[in-house]
Amino acid sequence: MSGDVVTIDHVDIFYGSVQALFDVSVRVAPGETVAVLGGNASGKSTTIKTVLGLVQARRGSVRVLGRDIRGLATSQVAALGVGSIPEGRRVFPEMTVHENLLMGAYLRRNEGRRRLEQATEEALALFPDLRERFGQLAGTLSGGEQQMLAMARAWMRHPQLLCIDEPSMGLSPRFVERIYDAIAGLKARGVTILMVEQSATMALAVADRAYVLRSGHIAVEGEAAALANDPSIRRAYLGERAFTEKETDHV
Amino acid sequence: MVDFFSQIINGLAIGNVYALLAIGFALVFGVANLINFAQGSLFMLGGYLTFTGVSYLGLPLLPAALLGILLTTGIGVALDWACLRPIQRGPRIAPLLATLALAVIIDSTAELVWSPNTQGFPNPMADQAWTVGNAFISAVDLLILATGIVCIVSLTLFLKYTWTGRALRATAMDPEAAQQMGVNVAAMRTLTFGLAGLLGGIGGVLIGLYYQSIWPTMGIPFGLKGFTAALLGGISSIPGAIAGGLLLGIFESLTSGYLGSLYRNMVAYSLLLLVLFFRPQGLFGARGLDALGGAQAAAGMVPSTSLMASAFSPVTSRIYTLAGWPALAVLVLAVLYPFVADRTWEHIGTLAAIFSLLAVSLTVVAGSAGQISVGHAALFGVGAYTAALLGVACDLPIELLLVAAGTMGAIAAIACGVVAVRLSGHVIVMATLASGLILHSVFLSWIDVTRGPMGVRGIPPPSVGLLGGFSITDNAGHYWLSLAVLALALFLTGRLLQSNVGRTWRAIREDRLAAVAAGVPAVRYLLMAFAVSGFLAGAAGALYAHLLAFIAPGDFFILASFIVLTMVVLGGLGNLTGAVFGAVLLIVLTEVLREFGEFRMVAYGLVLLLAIMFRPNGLLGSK
Repeated sequence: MSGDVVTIDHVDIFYGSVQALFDVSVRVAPGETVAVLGGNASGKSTTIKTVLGLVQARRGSVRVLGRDIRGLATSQVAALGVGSIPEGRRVFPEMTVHENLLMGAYLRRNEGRRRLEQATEEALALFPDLRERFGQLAGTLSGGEQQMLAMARAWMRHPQLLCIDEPSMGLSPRFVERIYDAIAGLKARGVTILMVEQSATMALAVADRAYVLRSGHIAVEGEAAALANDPSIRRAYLGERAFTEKETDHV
Repeated sequence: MVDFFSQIINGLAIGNVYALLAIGFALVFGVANLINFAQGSLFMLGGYLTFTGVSYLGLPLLPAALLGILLTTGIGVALDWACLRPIQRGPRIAPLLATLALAVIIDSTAELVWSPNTQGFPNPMADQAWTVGNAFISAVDLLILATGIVCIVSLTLFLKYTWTGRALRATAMDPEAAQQMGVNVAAMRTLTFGLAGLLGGIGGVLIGLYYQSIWPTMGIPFGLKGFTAALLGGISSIPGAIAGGLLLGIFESLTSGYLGSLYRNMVAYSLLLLVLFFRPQGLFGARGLDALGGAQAAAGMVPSTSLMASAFSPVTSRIYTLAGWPALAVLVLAVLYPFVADRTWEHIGTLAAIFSLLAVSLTVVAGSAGQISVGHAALFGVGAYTAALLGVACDLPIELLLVAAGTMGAIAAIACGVVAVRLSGHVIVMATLASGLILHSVFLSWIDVTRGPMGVRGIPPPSVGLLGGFSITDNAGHYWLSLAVLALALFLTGRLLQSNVGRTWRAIREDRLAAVAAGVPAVRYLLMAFAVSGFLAGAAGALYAHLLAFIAPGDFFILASFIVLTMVVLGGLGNLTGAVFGAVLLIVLTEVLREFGEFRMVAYGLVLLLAIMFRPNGLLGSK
């Protein structure tokens, strides 16, 4: 399907002699939000790393935005139009919020000062918390603020594909909701999103489709709503207890 | 009368050069995560290439300097491409040892090309100086200050306000995240090594002007002081590096002004040790550096993975060792060796046994306990001086002298170890290097006892108490004595490494935090490793002094430490058989290469570099 933004086709990934993904195929259509779910060591982060060119497939092919990315460095994949919100946020701690945002726009550095100022203004409008932290070192922000910054930084790129790795990790429930609101906001702006997440409820609420990974194999795939509403799938793969607890939180 | 203000100006000038070198260290450490020992060599090359431009090509000073600095920049980049990049994913210690090997290769090549002697450096401003009040200010001081400030300011602006500068900083903070922003991390690395070469080259030219002379080993003291300055400032911080450089310059200048220039180096290296001991994160080391894995990781405050562990695929190379009957068979052959060797080869055999003992000593602390020591020759020297001075003063049997030399070696090792055991990774190398240099300058300057550069002459032949005071005068006798000591040491060390103690050392090496969490008193065990190692090195020194009957400080300089380290790395860290194998191989190689004379050090450097690049776990495998 050449029109897809991401096509992972029958891929095997190894770390040394340890195999992390077995014959995994994932595709993301334009404008779609796709979630890859699974527990620890299920291979979901490896899936994102595959798309970003951080790991190379031993078998199978990976196409991103119309190009086979075999042999491309991560920076070259980014240049295709891929933005990334890495696991654990990974903001540049000794740079100010402003400088971090500029790093997000690194690939647009030739577009001129005015357009970048405009992009910065947009990002601050999307994430207003960052405005008052503008000149502060990113390392001094709270975890939730850092996640906001990482999202704003990725948005600065105006990516055609946004890869999000575990956005809710280590955040308080209040912040998780705000982060997911922000993800929904980006989705509404037409960004194609591939996200990896451990806690299924929020991810399935925002995603169109989802894949569930287990020990490096794809166990289930389908429409997000269908997966969320199928009790047997929830029990078998997604952890029933996590669901009920989260859901009572929402009430 | 020393004028305070003059000393300050002078200190600021020299301090600016230290700052330039320190920035080079900080940049490379940040981006490539290694301490570049070759930084001092690039500095030296800057001076020499400029000198060549003026003296051989007849260029005026300024174009010659620009050309020299440009070439140094290129060499900095080339070194990374050719030697360091290929081993990026190797064992963590590999790049560090590789830069050490590169430094030796470059320095000794410089000796071959430009002669080991000090050369005059052209300085058209030599006579221009002014007196302001009591202060004496020379044009060179002002030039250095101005150049330093221009470099520092433009670099700071570059890093702060340009896209490339920001990308460079981002790469230093988090290369993986920087990549995802579209930053070409490999290009940033090239830029970093280029900048380090550039700053080093500029520093070399400035120092050439300052002293109006250059010498091939000038990179060692200036490199070390540049590193000291970087460390003072917290190793990965640019403003810290600048402040550290200026502080060190002023401190040194005041020391040499008020105490005498003899103390200049000793004070600088002691300052390095003090900082490592009390504030391994640097004077200005901020909490923010943690994110870089900066000072904390460098200083080993954060327990890191094993030095020998590889970042990606664990290297499972085969380990070769000799034990039991095969070892005994080799020993029998070794005992019979003098019956087939002539006098010269008997002497070489003795040297091989002594250096094997020294290599065994180093492999205990560097291999088994994972504390890479680059000052080992100084411990060897402590033993040699102890045995020599006692031997000259009174008539003692060699057994007693060996024990005395070993004990003094152990004491010196513990003293060095007290600083080193708190550190790990790259910084421990610096600490042991500084200890070695301090001891070397003690040999050199404590003239009442060591007789300074003259050395100790007329050391009597060893008399063996067990044989009723039998005096050894022939080469075969020396050989058997050394072999006996080596065999005993190997037997005992082998037992020790297989015991609980050896296992604990390896546990600390592999994961110090886990070992401590399991209740291991890591510091005590590591000090024990230093003591054992120092004892063996001291005993080797005693044998050496009595074999040659004459010792001088030059025998125990960095190069000797480097040779022993090469032996150990070549044989495979932590592998006793490998240590002996490496020592014998290099001693024989020295003999074979003798006709090449000065090329020998270059050859040593190349052997080490190639070994690291192609067999990072040594010929016989690390254990």
